[in-house]
Amino acid sequence: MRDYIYALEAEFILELRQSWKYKTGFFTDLIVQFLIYSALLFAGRYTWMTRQYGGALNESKSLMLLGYVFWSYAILAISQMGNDIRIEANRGTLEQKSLSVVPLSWLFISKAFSGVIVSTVFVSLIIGMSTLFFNVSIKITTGAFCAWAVMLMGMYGFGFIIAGITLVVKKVGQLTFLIQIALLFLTGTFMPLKSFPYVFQLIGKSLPLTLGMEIAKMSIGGTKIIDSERWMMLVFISIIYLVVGLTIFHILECAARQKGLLGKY
Amino acid sequence: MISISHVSKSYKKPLVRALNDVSFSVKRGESVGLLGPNGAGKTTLIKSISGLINFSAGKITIDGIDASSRRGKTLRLLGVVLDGSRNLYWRLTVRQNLVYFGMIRGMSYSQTKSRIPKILDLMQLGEFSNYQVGLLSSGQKQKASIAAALVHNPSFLILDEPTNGLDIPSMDNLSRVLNTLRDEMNIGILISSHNLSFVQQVSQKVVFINKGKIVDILGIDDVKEFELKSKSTEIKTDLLTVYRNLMKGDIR
Repeated sequence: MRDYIYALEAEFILELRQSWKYKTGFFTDLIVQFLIYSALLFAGRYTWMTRQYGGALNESKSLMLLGYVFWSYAILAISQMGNDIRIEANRGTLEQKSLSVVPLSWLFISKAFSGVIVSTVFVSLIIGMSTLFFNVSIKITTGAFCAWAVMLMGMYGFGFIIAGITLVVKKVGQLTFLIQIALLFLTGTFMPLKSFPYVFQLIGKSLPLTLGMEIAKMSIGGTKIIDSERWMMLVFISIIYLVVGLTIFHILECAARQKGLLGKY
Repeated sequence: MISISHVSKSYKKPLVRALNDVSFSVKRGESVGLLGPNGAGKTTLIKSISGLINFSAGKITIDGIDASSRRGKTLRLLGVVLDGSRNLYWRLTVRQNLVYFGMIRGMSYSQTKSRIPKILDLMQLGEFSNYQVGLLSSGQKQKASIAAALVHNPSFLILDEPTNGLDIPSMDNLSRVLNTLRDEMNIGILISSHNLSFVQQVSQKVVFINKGKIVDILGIDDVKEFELKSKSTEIKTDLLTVYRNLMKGDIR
């Protein structure tokens, strides 16, 4: 157990040190993300949200910001581990990481924890800038926070699948990009899911991001009682995603060791 | 003791037998050279011992612990340096790298921090401890990689082609460091190389490997004797073929 705590601590320190070393990239990303958010805000496709989730019409921009925040965390969860594996393999440190006394998946879970903290700083700055420039902010409710946490767990499960594929196939950048864009539309982040064909609605509804965002928007939009069925569904789907993701990662890690692919890039 | 017993490794696509019934051992306080030309199977063997590659048949144990089924336990006993300069985070300092690698190998932050000065001193890296790894010379990077492999106090050190990219003074320096580790810290060392003269400087026993098979295992005195014979006789053995191939590629 102690080994796991030390590894968690090590990844946390490493992530903070690296984020500081690459701070220029952090601020460039911040500007780019804020520009994307601003463009979506000016596109004005958000008034449907208050009709669907409640709240005054002027709260619709807040709901859109919330959607944007959820989407940002979700794409981090999906792409972070795969990107890290690709970068570490290029650098030559992936094999050294694999020589850890704890499983490789634990190192990436640890990195995910620290990644969430760094991203929270990032997202807080986006919200701060949004408040400053557009007077659009979000109030955080307990329901929204819990929905976010459970959603994130499920999306990291998705991330483990991508990470496992990266261990074997190596270059999955385009696939990750496609998934990120698909999530933007299939989860009700900016457009109502109902406007898509039934099959896409079905796919969208099976994603933790869709369910988590729906509950969070209802919570912030003022819906007094959110039925327990929705919560159960979110928890259930997120656990399924995490368990399946970890299982697939372990199978693919084993395949990479079998084929001697850990050091390849 | 690292015990390698009848280890084989095959790849399916393309069909290659990278290791074929390999057996030998490395004791604590002993240094063993693994000599063979490029593609002989040295790296595959080292990665199999380290658990980075799953081997197809045979058994590897480290101090009696099975390396396949209890990888976490055996990795605690091993320090591994692969492809010298690509083992570390170049944007971090030597000290920061040592902290990270110590902690993912079962040491607490305080244990790692208290061990670092000793390791830096041993590797003669004290004055470079706060340098970013990317700013170090090849020889210093190699030493920093060894320091990172030693920070968790392993019983065995495994090095894959440690002389790649090193000039002659750096190689001499490295051989001094490795001999100190073996003689003063009782660390068992396995070094893969295609550099015969370097292996002779640091090994007590040499395992000659070619096309995945062990050709011969000789004590260092026997290697020197063989070297003399090989120049004056017309003997034709597998060992002589490997030896001559190595001599062609030897930079010294």
